Amino acid sequence: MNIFPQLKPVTAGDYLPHAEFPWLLAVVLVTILPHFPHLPYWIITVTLATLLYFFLRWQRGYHAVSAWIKVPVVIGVAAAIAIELSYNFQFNQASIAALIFCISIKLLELKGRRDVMVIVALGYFLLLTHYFYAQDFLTGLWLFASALVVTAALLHLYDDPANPALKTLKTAFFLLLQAIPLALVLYLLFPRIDHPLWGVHKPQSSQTGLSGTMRPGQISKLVESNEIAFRVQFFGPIPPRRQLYWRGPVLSQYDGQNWTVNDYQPQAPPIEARGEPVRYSLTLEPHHRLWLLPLEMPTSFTGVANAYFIRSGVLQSQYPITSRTRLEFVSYPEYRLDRGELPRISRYINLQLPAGRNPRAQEFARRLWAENPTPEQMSARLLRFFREEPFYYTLDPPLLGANAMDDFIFNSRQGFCEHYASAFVVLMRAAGVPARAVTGYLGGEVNPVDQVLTVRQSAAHAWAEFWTAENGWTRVDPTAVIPPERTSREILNQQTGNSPEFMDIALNAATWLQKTRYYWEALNNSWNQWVLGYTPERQREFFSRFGLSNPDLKKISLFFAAGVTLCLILLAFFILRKRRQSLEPAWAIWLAACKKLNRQGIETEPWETPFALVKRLKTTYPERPELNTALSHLARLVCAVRYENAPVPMRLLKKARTRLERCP
Amino acid sequence: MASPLKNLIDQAETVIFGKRREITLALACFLAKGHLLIEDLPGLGKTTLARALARLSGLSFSRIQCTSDLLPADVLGVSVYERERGEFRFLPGPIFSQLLLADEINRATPKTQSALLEAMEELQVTSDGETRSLPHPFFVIATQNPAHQIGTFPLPESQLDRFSLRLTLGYPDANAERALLTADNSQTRLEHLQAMLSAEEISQHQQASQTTFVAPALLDYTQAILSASRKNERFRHGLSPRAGLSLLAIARAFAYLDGRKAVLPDDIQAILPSVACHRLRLRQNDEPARNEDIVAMLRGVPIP
Repeated sequence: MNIFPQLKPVTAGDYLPHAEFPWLLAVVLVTILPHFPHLPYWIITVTLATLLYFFLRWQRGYHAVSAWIKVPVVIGVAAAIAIELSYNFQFNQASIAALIFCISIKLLELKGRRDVMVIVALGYFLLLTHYFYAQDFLTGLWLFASALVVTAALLHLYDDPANPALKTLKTAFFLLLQAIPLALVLYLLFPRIDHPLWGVHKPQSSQTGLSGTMRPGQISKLVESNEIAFRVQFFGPIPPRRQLYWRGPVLSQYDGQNWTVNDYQPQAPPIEARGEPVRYSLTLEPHHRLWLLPLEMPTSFTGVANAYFIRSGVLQSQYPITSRTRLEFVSYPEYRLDRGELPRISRYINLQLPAGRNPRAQEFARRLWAENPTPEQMSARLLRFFREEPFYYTLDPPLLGANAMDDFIFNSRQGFCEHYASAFVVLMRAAGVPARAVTGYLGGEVNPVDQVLTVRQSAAHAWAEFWTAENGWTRVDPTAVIPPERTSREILNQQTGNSPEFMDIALNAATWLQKTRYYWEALNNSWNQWVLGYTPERQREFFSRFGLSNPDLKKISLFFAAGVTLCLILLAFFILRKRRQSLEPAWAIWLAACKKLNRQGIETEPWETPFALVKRLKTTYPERPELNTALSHLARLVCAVRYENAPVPMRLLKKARTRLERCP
Repeated sequence: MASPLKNLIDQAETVIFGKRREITLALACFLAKGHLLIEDLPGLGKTTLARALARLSGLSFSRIQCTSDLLPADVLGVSVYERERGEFRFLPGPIFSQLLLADEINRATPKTQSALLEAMEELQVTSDGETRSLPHPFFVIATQNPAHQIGTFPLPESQLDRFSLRLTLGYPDANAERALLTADNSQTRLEHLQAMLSAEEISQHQQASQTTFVAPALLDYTQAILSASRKNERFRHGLSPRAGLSLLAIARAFAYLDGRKAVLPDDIQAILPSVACHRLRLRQNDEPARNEDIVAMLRGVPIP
């Protein structure tokens, strides 16, 4: 393959090749289509109109648009963008809109080859802007394909217009492939800065995730979201589902309606590690909050520079998690938290109940306590109460009145996890046992392909903890005691689907759709881990592997320059070596011509010299004079190039080949 | 450029009918500064060819008829004591000519053969401790009868390798033979030939012919042929590097004679049998390779 096609110089006066039209259409379409969902309707309309006119130009041979139309349109659109900028647009949105308008208006005035160059350059630039909106694997794939189209359009402008599109695309593909090693080196070594040079204004979507408060109906709303909260890779067997409690904010403050966080004291609680440790890495999706959601109960962690424990056993980062963050934890599922003495302030907070609210519940709790005078007995009695009385576990419970817990416990008896956790804690506190609500996530979905556990917002959960001197804080999940026949179908479906115990059979039993989804998830996860998760920290880690621990910018730059140089040298070596090995173009043309003759039933031998072949065909096929003349002409040219070192232009050779191919 | 040489070939053809190809090859061998071995039955024009070439190129000519009692001194020359002057005087042998015809070289004893061939190779003669250069240009045409004739000493391979080219004239075709029969005596025709070149011009042509361009692809091709001859099952041994050098030199001269400035693979294919046949021996019967064997070998080497 000829890697460097013969370049023709571009001059302004060059007319526009007709064959370039479909390529330009393709360039504009692939570069602007993914932007349509983010653009206002009027600019989409303008763009489509220009594309339509361009299509007609191509098909019917319309003229380029005159300045009388162009100038008002440009002024109008510029004004419209300016107005949008002052009301709706962010700056980057406005610049993208302007770019898209530029590329489409350029189509209208397309006259010569240099206009094509402008469109190609704009196309390359527009490709980059897609990363403002998405950086996932699919976007990467689409942009690679788009870059292929744009490069092919550029190649097509310079190459033989008779070349089929597929061949041009193939050449473009090989060109892009050659760029990959360099791109990789640039990606790995280009000095990364913690804060980007230009602020990328991420359109802030409505925050999903735990909010740090709990009131009836809040978590059940969250559960409807299928968004991913975090992914976990265990460095060992996956613990059973009954241990997969991911600890979020602990809520101690209750005002009769809302549960809120009360404890902000940055102090590690006394944690007693028991049983086997569980090691895992957790990749947190940005939730714009502080908590890190480890498996209960973490003892050590790495990944966030300024993370700390607060007294209630919650791990927090100093800054909100605004980008995808990878952490590593060691947790002990069998733990003892805060054994022995509870500080007075904690005891006070965790017994606090809003005065005068829920009198029936308080009365009920005191009655039960008289029969079950230890915290353990009380807890067991309450769980039996929830199990035996007709409590329902549902996603859409009825609204509750002013004495919400009274209403729930004695009247509606339909609730989601927050209702049960809340009721349990209120009853325990009323009985005089320190208790609190914990929010977080339960379980997760194991991908059988890469064994990564994915926890979605739908796994959000609330449970309770009560305190005893002997065991410290003990986790109780009152929702878990509701028997399946009183659980709504949606919740049941979710739970069975999420259960890690189902994992082994999952891949065999999965339908092809599920399987595809699993593979897709695994692919996306690797992309996140290795491509998007390449943060300044990981770059430092990467450098330290080369003995550059804690390098300054100067060292990184040197390393970077060395890497790029090495890559270019290797690339050049590879390309030059390949060129030396590859066939001389003239000889390749001759061999191709021989193959063509073979296909026509004329035999050629590899040891036969071109002139010998010409001579032989003249005697064996005297009835085909055109073929003989054409072949003799080509043989003369080929031999002149190959054996006589004569400067025969490639054009002549190609012409001779075409002449031979067109012979009857 | 090469038109005097073309004329020379035309003229030679008036003496040896229908052997233009052989004449061209012989001349190419001469331009490539090689030596020629003609192998054929008696009476097919070997001597005539040599004499025609000598006359046309205006070179001094001498001839040795080899027999089994021919001594090296008979070829190289001998020192005689001159009593009047009281010293030895070297009487140069027939080898001190520009074109030497060694007829029926395989009838000479190995000792004489090697004396001749050494002189050929080194272009000088050492006798009585004194080294004398041979004239320039120097070209040997040796003829030999097919080896199976009685009373011959076949040249060993090492000696054969010193001949760049081996020709067989073969019987003339019908037309040529008819012309031959009706024409004058070959001796008279030879005497009519005029010298067309001077020794100096020949040197110039020799130099010019060796500047003919050989493309790298053809160097590869030559190498591939040499290596194919070494790998070929039917030959006892392959071609030597010297054979490769001869092949290229003669291909250059051959292209030069055709009026071209570059060698084509066709040239190499055309001269290869003449360059290779006498250097290769068949494993099967220890005979020299035939043209068919060489062509079969060539078919295994693709044109680069």
